[in-house]
Amino acid sequence: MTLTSPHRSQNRNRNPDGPFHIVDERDYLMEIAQDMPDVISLGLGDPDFATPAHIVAAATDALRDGRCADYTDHAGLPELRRAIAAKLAQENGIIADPDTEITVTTGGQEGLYVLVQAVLDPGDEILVPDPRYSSYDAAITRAQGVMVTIPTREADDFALDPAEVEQRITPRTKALLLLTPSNPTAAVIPPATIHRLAEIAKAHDLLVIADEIYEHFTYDGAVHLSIGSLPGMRERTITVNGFSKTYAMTGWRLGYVVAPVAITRAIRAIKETVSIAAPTLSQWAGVAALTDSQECVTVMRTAYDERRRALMQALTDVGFTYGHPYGTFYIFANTSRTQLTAFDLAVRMLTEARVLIFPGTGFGADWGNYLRFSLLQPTPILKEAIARLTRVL
Amino acid sequence: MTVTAEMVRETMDGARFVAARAAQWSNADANAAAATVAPAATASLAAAAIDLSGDSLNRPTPAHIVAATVAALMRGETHYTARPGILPLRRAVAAAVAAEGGPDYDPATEVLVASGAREGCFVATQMLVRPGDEVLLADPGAPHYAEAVRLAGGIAVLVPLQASDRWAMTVTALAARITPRTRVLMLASPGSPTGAVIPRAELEAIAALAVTHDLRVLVDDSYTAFLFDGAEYTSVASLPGMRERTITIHSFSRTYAMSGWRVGYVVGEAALLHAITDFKLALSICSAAPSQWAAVAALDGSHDEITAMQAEIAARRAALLPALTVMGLPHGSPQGAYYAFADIRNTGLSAVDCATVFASEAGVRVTPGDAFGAGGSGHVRFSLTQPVAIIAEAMARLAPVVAAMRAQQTERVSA
Repeated sequence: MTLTSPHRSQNRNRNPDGPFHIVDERDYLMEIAQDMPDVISLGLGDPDFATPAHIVAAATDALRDGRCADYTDHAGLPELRRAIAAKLAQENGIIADPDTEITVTTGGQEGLYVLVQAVLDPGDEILVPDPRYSSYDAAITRAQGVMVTIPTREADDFALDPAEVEQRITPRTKALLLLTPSNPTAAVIPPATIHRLAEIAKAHDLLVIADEIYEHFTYDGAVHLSIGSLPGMRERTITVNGFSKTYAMTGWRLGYVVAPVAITRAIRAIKETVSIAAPTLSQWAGVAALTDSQECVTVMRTAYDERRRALMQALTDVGFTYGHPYGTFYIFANTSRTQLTAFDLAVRMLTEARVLIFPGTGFGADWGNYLRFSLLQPTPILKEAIARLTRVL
Repeated sequence: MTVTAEMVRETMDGARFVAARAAQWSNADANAAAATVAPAATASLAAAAIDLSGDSLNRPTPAHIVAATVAALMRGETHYTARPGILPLRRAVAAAVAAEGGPDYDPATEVLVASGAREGCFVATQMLVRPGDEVLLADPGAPHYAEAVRLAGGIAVLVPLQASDRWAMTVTALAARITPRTRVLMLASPGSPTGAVIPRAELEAIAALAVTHDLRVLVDDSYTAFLFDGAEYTSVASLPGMRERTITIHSFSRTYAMSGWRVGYVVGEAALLHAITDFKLALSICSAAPSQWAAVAALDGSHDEITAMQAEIAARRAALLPALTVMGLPHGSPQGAYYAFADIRNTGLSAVDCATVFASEAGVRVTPGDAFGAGGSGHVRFSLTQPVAIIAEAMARLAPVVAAMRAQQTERVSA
């Protein structure tokens, strides 16, 4: 096998008509990595931390009490919806009725899929900052919506420019999607920009879809502001969030969508058709996650920040540039100086340094010269990965 | 809140009905209705409204499955899994399918773990059905099939089932509705709401039809653990010419009392399953890790509790079906699932009105057949979701109510 040959020549032929071929480069790298016992993955967005013990204990209690055998109301366990409403009020300044405006989903990703099906009619345009989390593409394509990308640039630390948003609004524009903090760019939209975007949304009667799954991971003074908390925005904002990132609960598949009553009605009907309800044991775990101590989140944020500083320094040392990572647990780095495409570089990193990193093409076709590093290895292992990369580069 | 026919009609909107019912037909509501309509009966009804309208057996999950879930959590199985599901589960699924007489499937490329059979059905439908494709569906049938077809941009072509066929799908009815745009056929044998089992000879003829017209076939095997009166399971995918065109969905919810775990599976030839697996990733990444380990324990562990549960359902059928016959409500002796689909037309009422009267005057909740399509009108679904003694009590309460309804109808007709 010639590892540096373009993967497309291998005729993998996975659903060539669908929007999902975008994952092929990742699949290819992950398949190679599978057979490498000593590979260090800086790929997937799956926290290395175990789910905090008190959350696991709440789930095992619910299992032993026999509270998990049946599915819940398809909108979600009432106890969980109430806990989410309290969290939204306290942390985000978002007012939402747990009976009519909150829907629990099988992960934030399903939440996003379902809400996009609920709000987009065929031909509706949705504004999405680029680079972007690629699962949005699938959801929008399935709704026969039209994705209109808004460019962001490394030179601006991938900041979203409201003027770039406004000039792409047409009579068909239905919604603006915001992911802040952003995967893959690690940018955080500052409060002043959030206020400006809210004014634009109101002026053009747009829905705003706010994906806030990384809300708790911000650094260097960056502040996360929920657009749904601003005056006049409750009736036009759909907030999607989940437990995977904040509480290291990726394997539980638990998220939620907050939306005005009429939209929630549509979301719940589609959610029931898609998968009935989220796993019951995961929902009891979610209650504990929201209502017990939040110390675990602080511990994880502190660790991610330390790793972030270490990787930033290492990337600078080898001559890579990147948008300043104000949030998440990723760094989106420019590999132009190597004269290789990010995919070819990723293959080299994997085979020579035994470090798995995802190429930027997973986040839009224009990002072939970027790599997304995730910071989800214990700090000593991350430092070993940095040492390996530095040697090869 | 009082249960009214208007209220039932308001919620009679396909897939949304069943969920709305759960919220609106709570015990308290039925009791309130009973107090309004029949004050004399309130004292006994208040003690216990009987719910025969659900689709969950309300059993505890077998202890060894719960223990395996706890053990998985203790091992730290709280991360994303491989996207098609953990390999031990995909291997166990392939073995279980083969043991039931299904085709040999490669666990690496032909098994997908889903967040319940519902999600399996959804992802398969979205990938098999292209905009404008016609999809053949049973009427009456589970409403979520048609919803999934609609979300895929397809056209649900309803194939009316007949009580005279014991509600089983027939090749004749299917053949009459095939057009050049027909692409997919969906089958559930047995299925909700009728519990009908399609005889093997009929399935063979349906398979031949699918081959002739190059149809994809989506088979929902969620209820195949529940077969009675000598009915036998037929693996549609193992019939001649079917492996390359069949996707089969299976549930852990029904068989193993695991509906809260949200885990099921999809099997099919790699060429068909590729796209479905990619779409599942886009939809929900993977299924819950602890649930997948629970499912391994379900397949690999003791099946004693399932055998006992099958015997229990058989006893519940024996408490229900003869009683319906005595009341004069024909039901066609369903051979599968845990439902009976009873003809209530001789009460002179619509299914919605009949269900409302059952709830308000007997404190017995059933589902109006219209919730499963126009073909279900004039019928109500009884679910065998309560123990034998409670089903017997429900029948004892319904007998005089049904007798009175039929007597009134006779008077109306003769007048």
